[in-house]
Amino acid sequence: VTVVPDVRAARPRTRGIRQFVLKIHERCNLACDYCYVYEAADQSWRHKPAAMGPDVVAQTAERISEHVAEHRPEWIEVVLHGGEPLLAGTDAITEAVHTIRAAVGDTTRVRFQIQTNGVMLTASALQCLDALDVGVAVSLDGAAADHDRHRRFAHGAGSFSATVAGLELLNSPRFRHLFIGLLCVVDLDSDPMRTYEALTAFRPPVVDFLLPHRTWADPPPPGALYGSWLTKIFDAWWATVPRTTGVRIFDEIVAVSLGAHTATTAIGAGPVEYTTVETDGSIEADDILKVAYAGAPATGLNIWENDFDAYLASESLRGRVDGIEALCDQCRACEIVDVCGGGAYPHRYRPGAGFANPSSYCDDLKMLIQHICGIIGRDLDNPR
Amino acid sequence: MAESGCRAAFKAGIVEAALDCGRDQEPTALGHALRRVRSEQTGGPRRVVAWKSCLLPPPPGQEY
Repeated sequence: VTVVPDVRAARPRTRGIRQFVLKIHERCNLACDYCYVYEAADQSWRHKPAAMGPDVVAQTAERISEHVAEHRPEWIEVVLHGGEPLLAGTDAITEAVHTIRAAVGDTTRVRFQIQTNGVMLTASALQCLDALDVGVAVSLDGAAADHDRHRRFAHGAGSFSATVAGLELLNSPRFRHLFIGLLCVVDLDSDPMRTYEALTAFRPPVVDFLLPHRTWADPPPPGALYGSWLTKIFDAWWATVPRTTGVRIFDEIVAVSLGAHTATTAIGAGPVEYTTVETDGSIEADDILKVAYAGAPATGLNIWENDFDAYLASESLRGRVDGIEALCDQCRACEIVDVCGGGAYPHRYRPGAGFANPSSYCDDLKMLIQHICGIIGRDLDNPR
Repeated sequence: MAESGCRAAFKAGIVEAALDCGRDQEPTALGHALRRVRSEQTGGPRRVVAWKSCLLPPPPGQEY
């Protein structure tokens, strides 16, 4: 007998929205060939304002304030995102940060991060972010040739040298405290150790390796090649003592395997605790859903007419329940499901079948997780 | 959370034994993860489930 989970009953372990992703600028100064915003099935960016106006910022701040008053978290996080958020300019960024902090008040701490390609990380931009206490994370895909294979300007030139110039400034003693970490999209054409060494050369507190966003419409190649790529880095990272750089995907797999709750949407079956506000004020779900189909991230909600509790109760989250009970039969029967949690939700999409599928990266996740669990088991048995 | 296949593959009680003998104090990736497990087991706050592009570290008081 197949038990169909009652998602309405299963849904509610939410603590409210804890991360607010603000698309403060919808355009980009790069033209990366793998970008899920501009190169994927959903092309809604074409119809949205280039920048988030002050009225949208103010109304978003009011909605965040309402939500915080209702759910009373000790802290929330706001991610300034794009496109390239620094295209919004330091005046607009300053206004957004001040407006949100003022609206939320003193009872809840607001932590800000900006996710940037680094090209516009000038001294004046960093001085502004420092004054605002905004942490900075940079997208870097490893060594120069590997980074420039995909992360290019519209005229075709690679962005590595421009990104590294900004990154070196961020890493200088004046601004180093703002440095949060590096995001790297995995490319099988890049040597994994060369990539890892290129990233750790900047002494990032954390790096994360993102699987290219794919669905069953365009799945990764067979043979768990991405899993194999990542295991090579895992082995080097695990053997490094003391641990100086966190690698989020590895930290999460290790911690969840040992019994902790997940702290990322990529691993484990955790609750949805974040939302996206677009430049036009629309409230959207996971923006990676743009890889699934046109309109996939849309919720029909906006900050003018709806609060964030409406988002939590929306149809868009109906299939996003936390816990493994809402996953497909194949996942629920799998021996690693409590660790992988079905993988990133957008990666489960199959045209005609929706999201009730294993991840298109299922083989890769299984290989990586089993490899990691094997090493954990060995080390627990044999202390260093 | 139900015990996973991976955790089931560990010897019963081995995580608790590692905590009992202080392996969460090791400066290793394993020690880091064990500190997080101990924090959650002792009622420490659970981290937010972060969006894939948010690398913000745990807030003060929640570091491992």
